[in-house]
Parts: sequence; structure tokens; C-alpha cells
Amino acid sequence: MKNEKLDSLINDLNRAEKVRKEISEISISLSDPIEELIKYGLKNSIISNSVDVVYISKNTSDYITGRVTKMFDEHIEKEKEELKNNSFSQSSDYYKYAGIYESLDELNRKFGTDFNSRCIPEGAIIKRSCR
Amino acid sequence: MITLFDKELNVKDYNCSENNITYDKLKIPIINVYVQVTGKCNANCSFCKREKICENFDFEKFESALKAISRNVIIGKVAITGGEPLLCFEKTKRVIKIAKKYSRFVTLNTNAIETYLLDKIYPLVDEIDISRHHYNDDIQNEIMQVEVPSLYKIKKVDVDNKISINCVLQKGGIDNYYKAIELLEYAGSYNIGYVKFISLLPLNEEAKKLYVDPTEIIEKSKKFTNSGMLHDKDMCCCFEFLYLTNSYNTIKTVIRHTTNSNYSCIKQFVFNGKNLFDGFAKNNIIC
Repeated sequence: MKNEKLDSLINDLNRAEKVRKEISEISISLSDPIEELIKYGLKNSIISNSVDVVYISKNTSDYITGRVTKMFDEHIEKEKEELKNNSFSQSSDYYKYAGIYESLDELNRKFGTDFNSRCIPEGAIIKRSCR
Repeated sequence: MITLFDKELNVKDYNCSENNITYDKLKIPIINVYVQVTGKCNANCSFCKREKICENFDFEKFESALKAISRNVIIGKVAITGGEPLLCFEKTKRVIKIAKKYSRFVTLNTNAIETYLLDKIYPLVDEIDISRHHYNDDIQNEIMQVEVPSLYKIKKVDVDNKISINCVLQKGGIDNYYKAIELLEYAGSYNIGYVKFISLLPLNEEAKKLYVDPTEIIEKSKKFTNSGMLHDKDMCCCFEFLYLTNSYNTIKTVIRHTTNSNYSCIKQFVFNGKNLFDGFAKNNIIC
């Protein structure tokens, strides 16, 4: 299943590469479907690890291999960065509402929010629930 | 289960699944809301379930419904639909303004016959879904029983690539793989980046007659770059792929196949200007 998806991507990349070469000869600048295809592959985990990158490199030109490798590296870096930022923002959300409140009303008044008894933010302790 | 207007409702609280066996449960359900702003339409598609809708839209009720829904679930998107929403432009604008408060993604379904209004509504929404059921203008006009504007004219307003195409698969229209590819090539030649093929919901006799099973189109499209099939139990499935056109454009394409319209849970809410319902079948009034 995984390889079927990779093979489909490789077919399209090779097709796009062929058109790119033809177009470069007549020097028309158009959109860049190779980038779109690689982006789609990364976003949907068709390319999910270095084994996939190697598999693509065996079946495509050096040009495509270079682009896939570069975009895969950037994608991994970006994911690492996002993971780091997410853990920071989650913890800041935690502290944002942390505290002991007499009622939900008090919490909502303080932050201008609309929390209800089913959705109390993490870190907030409500002494009595208001319904 | 959520409680909305004192009613216990079984809403879809899981992600669609690749294997149709295991389903990830969501902490907070994500549900779409469809708003029918009018029952009037300037097209006359035979498969469409024409409904009489109260034209006095209750804006307060709409807002309180959205408010209540957003307390219980995440509103994935609010889709403005009809009839034809551009026939009641001011009402549609007001509905969009309210919807924006409760959802980050507001879309508009239109046939774009009132093309002159498109650029006015364009900045207010996040996506505009244009109904286009064929690449051949004559067949397209025959299906909708009205003359529709060219994609060229429509695409002129699309500075941020918000316009996508909704194509209902039907006999005599797009009814096989090769015609689907023709439609994608046609869309690509106008730089449309998103096309949705939708299987007909058998809501009336005509729709049952025109029904096309999209399985063949899905199977043959697997040769393109794809993220695979997502199943929603025995109710529906979606197949998504990226199509590379001969004009060197890429089009994100989705084929949605509804296999059973008797849903076992609430997959969307529908507000028709007067009441909130638990789906397009409108089996139950929620408020």
C-alpha cells in the first residue's frame, strides 16, 4: 500500500520532470508542479522517512532526488520546530488560566471567555460549578 | 454524545479511517454547519431536491444556534448554501458575518450565474465552491437548464485561489473516468486548484435515476499521487489525489462517495433560516 502510493508519486514526478525539461527549452515560466507534488507527498506522509527518499532517488532523476532530499530535510526541521513551539504554547495556556476560582463566572469575567462546565481549561480549579 | 438545546445528540466524534476498522476518537468532535439562506435558485438541476424555505431568515436564532454548537463541538466550517445564495446578497453577507464569529472557515456554494456579485462576496469568504457538472458548455447548460458564465469570467476575480469546482457525478454528465479527467484538464486550463466530485444523494426519484457509482473513477485514479481512501464506516468514503494536468498545473481532487445516507450519527448540522436540523435529511429539529 505504502509503495503503491510512492510509485504513483514517482510516476507523476517523472511526468512533471519531462514537461519541465520541454518547457525550459522554450523558456516559459509556469507554476512548479514538482514542488507541489513533493509538498503533497510530505503533507500526506507518502514520503515519511529517509527510506522513502532513497526509494524515490532510485526511480527518479538527480534533479528530482535533489529537490526531494532538500524539501524532506526542511520538512523535518519545520516539524521539530513546531513540536517545540506547541509544547511551549500548551504550557503557556496551562498557566494562563491556572488558579482557584469561586465559580466559572469569576473565571469567565477575568479572561472574557465563555467556558462552561463541560469545558474548563486545564489548570483552573472551580470551587463550585455554576449552571 | 453532546447536549444541545436540552437534546441528547449522538454526533460524529471520531476521525475518518484509512483501514475502515480502527477509528481514532476525537476529544472534541468537529462538525460542519450548512446554512440554507434561500430556497430560490436561478438554475434548475433535475437531481436537486428543491425545497420551500422560509425566506425570513432568523438571524438571532442562527447566532444562538452557532453559539450553542460551538460550546459543544468545534465547528469545522460553515458552508453557505441554498438555493442560490447570491440571489439574496445582503442576507448572505449578514449570515457570513455571523458565521465568521464561530468558525475560521466559511465557504460559499454558488452557481456563479450572478457573476457580477462574485467579486463583492469574494473577500468575505475563505472558499467559493462553484457548481460545474461538465466541461462542455452546452451539456453543462442543459444539466442546469440555464446559461452559466464561462470559467474564464469567473476565474478573473480569483486573486487568492479561493475558487474550487463542485461536480456532481451523474449519467449523461461526468459518468466515467475519462470524462472526469477531461473535467480536470478543463479546470486546470483555468488554473483552478481544487475540484470535488460528489456522488449523488438519492434524495428524489430523478437523483436515483441519474446516480453514478464512482468506484471505477476512484480505482483508475489510484495511479496518480494520492493520499488514499478515508472511510466513514458504512456511510461514505473519500478518495483524494493530486492531478497533474497536461498544462502543467496541479489540482487537488476529492471524490466523495456516499454509500448510505442513513447516518448512524450526526455528521453535520443544517440551519434553514428557521430551524436547526441534524442533517440534510432533516429528520429531527434541534431548535
